[in-house]
Amino acid sequence: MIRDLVVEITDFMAKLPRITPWLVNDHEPPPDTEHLQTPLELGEYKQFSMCINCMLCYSACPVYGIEQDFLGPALIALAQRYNLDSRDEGAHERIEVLTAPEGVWACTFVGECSRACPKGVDPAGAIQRAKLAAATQSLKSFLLPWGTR
Amino acid sequence: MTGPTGYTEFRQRLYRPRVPLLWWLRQRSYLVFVVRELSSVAVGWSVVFLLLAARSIMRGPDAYRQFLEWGARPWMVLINLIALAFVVFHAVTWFNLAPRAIVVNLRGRRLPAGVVAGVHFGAWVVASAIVAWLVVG
Repeated sequence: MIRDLVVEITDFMAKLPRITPWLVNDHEPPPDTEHLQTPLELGEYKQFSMCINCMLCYSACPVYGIEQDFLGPALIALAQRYNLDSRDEGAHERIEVLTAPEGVWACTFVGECSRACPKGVDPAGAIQRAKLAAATQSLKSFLLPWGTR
Repeated sequence: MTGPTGYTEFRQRLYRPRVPLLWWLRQRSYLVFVVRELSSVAVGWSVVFLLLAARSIMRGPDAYRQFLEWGARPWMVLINLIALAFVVFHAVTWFNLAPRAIVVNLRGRRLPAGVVAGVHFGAWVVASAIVAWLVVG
């Protein structure tokens, strides 16, 4: 926060395209149909879609203050928003960015980002879930190298 | 993005507040976080102590007796008591955070955070009971 209602968003915007913040789906339904979701499927990602880009989580995060390359809480929560969306198939594209040194592993789980969030998004939880997903993926590819991605 | 000068391509200088060296003293939550990270040293020491115990057992009764005498010295007991306090703090804070990372859906409902944490604490109690039974019983 620079001043009230003046938010430094330049770095966030520059890093934004790296997490592919849109639905990736090569199997689009026909144009005249809707892609329906159950309440459970919606509930999986809805929390992470409530971000208003206020950058309070970036102000609260000491890792972002020290490591300028860190993607940051809101961006990783946004990546998780799409990863957890049943209509999306781009998780394997995002995992490359999320597991890079400046991605989820830079987070040391201070947890202050989630406390600062006015919308209850819980970016810290999103980052830990992304870590667990990445670790599970690595273990799977190690144990089952012939399996699908 | 910025170049080495800190300016963007639009000649706008980014605002990057400096993080003071003692940032972790500014808030209680930051301090708790740093203590939790530092408690990893105590966890590491506990593992080393356990490995030393295992090595002394492998070397025979004399070596094991020497290890027990070394471990019973007042300063060693003090170190291990401090380490135990840090290990318990580390485990409790870590298990409390586990539900944030582990999301389990059962029959269309998300398992409450208390249950996920409770399973961790329960497993801890069971593992401790087994170890206590092996050592004492």
